[in-house]
Amino acid sequence: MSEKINSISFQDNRVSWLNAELGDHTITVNRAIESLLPLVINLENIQQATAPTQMANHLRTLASSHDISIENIRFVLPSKFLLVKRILVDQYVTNENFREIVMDEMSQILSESSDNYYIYTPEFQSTNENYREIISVAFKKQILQFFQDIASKADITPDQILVNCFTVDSLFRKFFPDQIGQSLLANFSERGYEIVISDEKNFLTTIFKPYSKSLMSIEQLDDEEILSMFDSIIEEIQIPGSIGNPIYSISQIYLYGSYFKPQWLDMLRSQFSIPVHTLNPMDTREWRLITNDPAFNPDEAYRFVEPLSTLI
Amino acid sequence: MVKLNLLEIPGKQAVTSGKEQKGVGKEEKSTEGQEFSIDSIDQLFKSTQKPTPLPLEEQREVRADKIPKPSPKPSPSPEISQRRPQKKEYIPDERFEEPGANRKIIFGIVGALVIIIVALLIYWFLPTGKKEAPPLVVEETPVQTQEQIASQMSREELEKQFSNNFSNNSSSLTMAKNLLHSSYEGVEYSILVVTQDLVQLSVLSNSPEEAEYYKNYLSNKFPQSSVKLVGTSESPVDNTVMYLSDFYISLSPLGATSPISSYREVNSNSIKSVLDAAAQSHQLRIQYFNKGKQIKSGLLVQTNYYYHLRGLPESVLNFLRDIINTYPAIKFNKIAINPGNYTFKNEGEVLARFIIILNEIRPS
Repeated sequence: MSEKINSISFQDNRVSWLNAELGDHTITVNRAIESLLPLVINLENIQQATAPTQMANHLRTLASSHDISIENIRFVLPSKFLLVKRILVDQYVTNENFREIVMDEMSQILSESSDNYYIYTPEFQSTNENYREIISVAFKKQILQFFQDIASKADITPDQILVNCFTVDSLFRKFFPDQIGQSLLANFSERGYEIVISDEKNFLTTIFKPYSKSLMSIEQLDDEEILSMFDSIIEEIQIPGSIGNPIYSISQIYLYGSYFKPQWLDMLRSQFSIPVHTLNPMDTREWRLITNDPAFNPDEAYRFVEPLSTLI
Repeated sequence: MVKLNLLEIPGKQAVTSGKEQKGVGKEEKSTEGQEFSIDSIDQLFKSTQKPTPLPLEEQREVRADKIPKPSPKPSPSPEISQRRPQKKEYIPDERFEEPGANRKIIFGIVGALVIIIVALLIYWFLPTGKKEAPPLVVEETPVQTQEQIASQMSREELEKQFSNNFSNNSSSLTMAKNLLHSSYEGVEYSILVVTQDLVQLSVLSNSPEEAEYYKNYLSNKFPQSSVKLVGTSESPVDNTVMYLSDFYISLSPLGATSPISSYREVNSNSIKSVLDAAAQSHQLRIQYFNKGKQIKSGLLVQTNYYYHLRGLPESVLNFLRDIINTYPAIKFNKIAINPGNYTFKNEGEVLARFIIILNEIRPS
């Protein structure tokens, strides 16, 4: 029997938790939990001294009430907490200069001192004719420390702390490997759309678009507002300008997240000329999902895309 | 796929200043877990292409084997016999061991050549009727040697490149000027990067909506270009939540270029002093200069340089103008301008970083 993994996905105001086992192209879900957090994760709240303790207590309560042994923990955090930048680097740059240019470029666009960030350059290279494209990621130390404090207060040791834009891209690629062209994956989160754009080969970008300038909760908006905003975002990405080509040319759209409503699918399909789908992991032909928990409704598996994405 | 575990914090990361970055880079070079870079691969190829010298002991044995033996000796040890085929590699050595015969041949050839040359000279210069032969007329016409033709061709190629450089540089400078001189209420520049076909612009605003308005402003300002708001993310600045928005402005390709009438020469020996002199004349402080790789293309060679300056934005623009107008051998492949602090202020200093390509004729 394979070991059990606890994958915990944090969003603004909620947590999604899967306790699952990973087999050969099989995922067995033992526990599926969705719960509102005691506080919204934002810059103000994470500076409160008691915030990690409150969050830790909440995690421990969830674990005990669902009879989960807290081992093999993986955290997945929203990509809006990080800054992802594709950097063009002259392909003839020497190794020493290459590193310096990438790090310098990244540190210059940060709004605070780069002392406050961890700057990663994960394995990714896309080469065009004249430049190398590098993905650089800056993550605020304060935010990572906040989640590490939560783990510490909850007396748990996460093996991995991942970012949802990369894990969801990976899940999509593995679950639906036959997609052609660029795919836009949209998570309907509490405060905005978290968008990942991928093509057959590479993660391309992640974009966070709030529902409103005042960061209103999705629960304060009606369906029409939510969908028309989504329409305008896709149009902006998809429709070319006066000349030249658009940066992204989307071939299909996949929707998921705790706040996504299935009834929106038909409305959105009528708005777009490109295929729109629900990103339901149960639809994959590459993997088999088995559930032992009635809370994991196969029809609503799109709610658990993020915690599922850390398992594979 | 991108795999990123935030717990795998980049080793010894202190990516805050140029000095510290250099330090990190040097440390990484000495660690076992160093990334396998393109440079490393280059090094590998270089090392495998070098002939592997035989161990000294083995060389001695093989050479000893070649010494003419006055009388038959007992057969050599099996070890030496196995090495005998390597004798072929030492044929040049053997030739030098027997200089007498070769020298005779060389003297013979040289002697024959001298006789032929003398005969030709007598034939052409003696006052006979044959001196009016057509070859003399041919000699009087200016004949271009292969070197001269190549030089002329490479000069033409170079000057064509100069015209392209001038056009591209001027276009980049105009774009940088337009963006730096334009101001939009509520929006501050965070970084501006101009390349030949793309402008990357990051701005800070108080709300995502202001970024949307700014996008419309840019679209109106550059109607011939495609302006894209690539993304907006929250960005805390001095305990205030601001929004960092990234824009891409695609630039249309340039049309035909006209030849440059006059210019000044610059080469790899003088480029630093040329750049430094221009920077100092505009009160700019030189932060960094480094030479990158060379690309050899036909008769030309292109060398990459990295040059960083700090000073007022207007001074940076004037520096660019001077170099572009005077030295078309220099191409600004990338111009990156950003403020030293969080937001761009016209009265404040900026850091300007350039990737420069110097075009020269390939030395013969």
